[in-house]
Formats: sequence, C-alpha cells, structure tokens
Amino acid sequence: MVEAQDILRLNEKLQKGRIYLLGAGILGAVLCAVTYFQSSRNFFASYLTAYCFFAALSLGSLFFVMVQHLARSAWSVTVRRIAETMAFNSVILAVLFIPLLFGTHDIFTWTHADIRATDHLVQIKSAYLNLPFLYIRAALYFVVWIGLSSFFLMTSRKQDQTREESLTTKMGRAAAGGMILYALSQTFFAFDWMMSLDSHWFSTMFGVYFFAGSIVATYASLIIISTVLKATGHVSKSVNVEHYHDMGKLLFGHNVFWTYIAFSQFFLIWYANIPEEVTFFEARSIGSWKIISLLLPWCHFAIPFLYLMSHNVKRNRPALTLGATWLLTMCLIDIYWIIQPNFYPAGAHFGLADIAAFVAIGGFCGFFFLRNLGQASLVATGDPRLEQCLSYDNGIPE
Amino acid sequence: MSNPTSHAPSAPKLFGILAEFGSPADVHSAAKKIRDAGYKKWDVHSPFPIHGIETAMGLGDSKLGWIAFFCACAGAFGGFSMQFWIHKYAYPLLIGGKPMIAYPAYVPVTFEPGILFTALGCILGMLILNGLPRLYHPTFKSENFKKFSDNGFFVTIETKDPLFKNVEATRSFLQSIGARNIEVLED
Repeated sequence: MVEAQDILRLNEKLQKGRIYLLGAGILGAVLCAVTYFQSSRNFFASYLTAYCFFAALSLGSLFFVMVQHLARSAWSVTVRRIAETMAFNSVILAVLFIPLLFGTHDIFTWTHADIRATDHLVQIKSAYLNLPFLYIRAALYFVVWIGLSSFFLMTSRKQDQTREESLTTKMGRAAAGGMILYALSQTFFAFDWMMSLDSHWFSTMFGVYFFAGSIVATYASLIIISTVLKATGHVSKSVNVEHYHDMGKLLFGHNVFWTYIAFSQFFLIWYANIPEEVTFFEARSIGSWKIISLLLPWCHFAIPFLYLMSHNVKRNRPALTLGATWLLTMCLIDIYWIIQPNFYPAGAHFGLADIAAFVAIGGFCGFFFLRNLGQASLVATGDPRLEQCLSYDNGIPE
Repeated sequence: MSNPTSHAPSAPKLFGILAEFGSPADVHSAAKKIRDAGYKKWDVHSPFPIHGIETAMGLGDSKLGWIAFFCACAGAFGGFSMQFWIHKYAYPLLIGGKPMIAYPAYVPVTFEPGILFTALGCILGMLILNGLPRLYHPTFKSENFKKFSDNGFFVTIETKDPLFKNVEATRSFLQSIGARNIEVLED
C-alpha cells in the first residue's frame, strides 16, 4: 500500500511555509489599505484582478474534481486531493469578497446615478444590473461553491478513514447535479464581475472564455503544487511520471480549448464589426493595451503549444513545471487584460496596488490552502481506484 | 552449376522462424527475453493489441508524430499562403470593409488544410511505416499460423537478424523461452 512507502502528510517545512504565506497576506493587506487611501478606484481595479485570478484557480479545481468523478477516472486519484483542497478555498474567497461589496461604485459605472438616469442601455438592463440583485447572485454563487467544494473535500477525507466504496458513488451522483450548478454560477460570476465592467458590451461566450482560462490555470497549478510537494519530499511514489504526463496532456489540450474560445469570440466580433460588440476589442487596441492583445495569441497559445507538444516535455518534471508556470502567468495576464482596460482606457497601468492585492489575496489563499492540506492525507488513500491509479501506465517506451 | 550461389533459383531461401506461445502473458514475457537477447529483425503476432507490448519489444517512439507535425506545418503554410496570394496578387477584392490582407480571416482556412494534411499524412505514413499494402507474407505458408486472428500468439525471428546464426541455435533459444510448434518459414 501507498502509505507504507510514501510521505502523505505535510512535513514541517511546508507547515512553516504557511506562516510565511499568512505574513505575506497580512503585509499585502496593509499595503492594500495604503493604496486604497491613495486611490480607491485604482485599488479596486487591482483587487478585482487578483481576486478573479484566485477565484479562477478555485473554480477550475472544483470543475476538475467533479469531472474526475463523472468520468470515474482512476489516473487522477493521487492528485485529486490537491484540487479538492484548492476548490475549498472558496471559503476564504467568500471572506475576501467582502471588500468588493464596498467597491461597487468604483468598480461598476452602471451603479452611478447619473448614468442610470441617462444611459438607455443601462436602463434596459437594469432588471439584471442592479445592486440588490448583484448581492443576491453573489450570495448564491458562494452557497453553490462552498456547498459543493466542502462536500467533495469532506466526503473524500471521510473515505480515507472508512474506505467505503459507496462514498465514491455518492460523489459521482453529486458531481452530475453539481456540474450544472457550477456551470451556471461560474458563467454568471464572469458576467457580473468581469463582463459588466463595460455595461454596454456583451458576449454570450464570455462565461466559457473565463472557464477555459480557469481550467488552464488549474492544471498549471496542479502541476506546480505537485512539483513543490515532491521537491519537499512528499508523494514521491504516489504522483509519478505517468500522472505528470496526463496533467501535461490536459494542460496542453485545455490551452488549445482556451485558444479556440478566445479566437472564436474575437473572430465573430471582428468579422461582424457591430458597434456595440466591437468596443471590447477596440478598447484593447489603444496604446499599450495593443501590445498585450498581440502578446496573448503568441505567448498564451503559439509558444506553449509548440513547447508542450512533445511527450518528452510532459514526462520531464522540471520542463513541464516550467511550461505550467509560464501558462499560469499568462492566465493572470489574460484576466488583467479583461479587467483593467475598463479602469485605464489610455493604456496598460501597473502599480503598487497590483502587487499589494496579489500578495494579499495570494497569501491568504495560500495560507488557507496549506492549512487544509495539512489536515488530512495528501492523497485520497481510501479511494477504491487508488491501486489502479498507482499502476497506471501511458504505455510510452522508455 | 559450378557456382551454387548465383544459380540456385530452386533452393528455398529462408525467411525466418515461427514460434507459437500459449497466452498473451507468455508472448509478452518472451518478447522481453528476445529484446534483451539483442534481436532486431523480429515481430510479435497477436489477434488483439497486447498492453505494454511496445515496451516489451523495445520499440522506440513511432516516427508518425514527426510525419504528422511536418504535414500540419505544410498544410497550414499552404493554406495561409494560398489566401495571401489570392488577396494580394491573384484576385484582390475588398470584403466587408476589411483590409486586403486581413490575417484573422485567414485562420479557419489555415487551420483546415493543416488538419486535412495531418490526417492524410498520418494514414499514408502509417501505411508506409507498416510496409502496407502487402499482399504476401511468408507466414501465410504455415497452417498453424492461421490461428493468429483467433487464439494464436506468435513470434517470428527473421534470418536477416544480425544475431541469426543458424536455424538450430535460434530454435533452441526459442524453446528455452517457452515456445512451441516451432516452424521454419521459407520466403
């Protein structure tokens, strides 16, 4: 059995790491407060960017956990606990969401009384774009995310102890219904907190676009976290080259999916050239935003596509981790590119607030993640498919 | 008939040795032993794919991936340059107020020949790498070999193999790794 030969509990080194992450979170929060008093609008632009990035990681992980249950997948058993714990970050994200509730005036122009009085499109959309409904929707999203992620984490931890096979069946059933709730909540979260920043613009593909980016970010972080765990002496046998190969394949595949969605969204809008649709890309072709718009197809797609194509890269831990880090950075730039042109139309802007918000949210999310990861085994040891996962083989001749 | 090598059309040329194994597991472990003994010109015949047989036989990476890659590049390059050539030189036509050379519009047609060339290249490459179509094979002469599409698991070692010294040595090697019904195949 896997327990006998493998370290499946967080060791001292990483237990200590979470104190540093908490420290980083507090330091970031102090810096956030400073930047808030300098310019609340700049602060909320940065805070929303960092928030959406870490929310994407958590949401993508929830999707990953559910899709593994739906597919009754065996290969993923040893990395599923990482994703379950990352999805459970929705609890800390609910706490970190509170500042955003006080920033709606800075974030959304559609909340301004003068715009509501004069803007015809905002008036038409006011049945959806109004603050009480925005708060109700946000509450519903967190009910769904916290409900689903805590169910999967707790049930899986319970299975570590009891080894009941019926729990796997139960999680599979919950994943079927959960997937529908997930798809709706994730889509409308993207509509509410990213798309409605420009209250005139809309794209029916926007929810899928955010999803595609978030699942790429999730596979990238699964690879990076597995590498960190292995580098600090954990899971040396239970996560092996075959699991890396599969995570690499999915990272590669979903990155192509992101490209497909991103290009389809761009292509239809560009080709039709209708004024109310084309504003999104028009705003992103001004000044230095154009550089990022041109950077994304090359650095988010073309370079990683060629780099991750060979199975020699996917089966090489340092090489794959490098590719994953690259793509995770690109996912952050993508979210920055979605959100910040609404705040800085003249050109890309980067300041202390961006660093402060990223460190604050990242620190607290990382702390909460390590805390929960340390509470149970790093691998779902009670899963009935564990043996199958450990003997999994891609059939690649060495 | 002073020179037997140049005038021997009637003397049968040997293709190799055919050996039968009892089960997929037997032929899998036999393949590992043949691989480790250093044979190069040999093959396993089975009614269905045996999991992990590529590793057991010591086969390297397939070259098909490279064929697919170059076909994809050629197709995508061809598709892109065709559109570029048409819009720039052959038939410049203003469409929907877009620039004459409108790169985003070229993406679908660049993608499609890329996929088409890859698919065709994979099929043709697979056939060529497998030496197909091939209407005759020396194993067809063996009555016992007819089981290969039902319940027979076979290994053939060709005389062209550098390690193939004579029939008896190879036969006794195959016997030592558990083969039965060993036959000598003529070309």
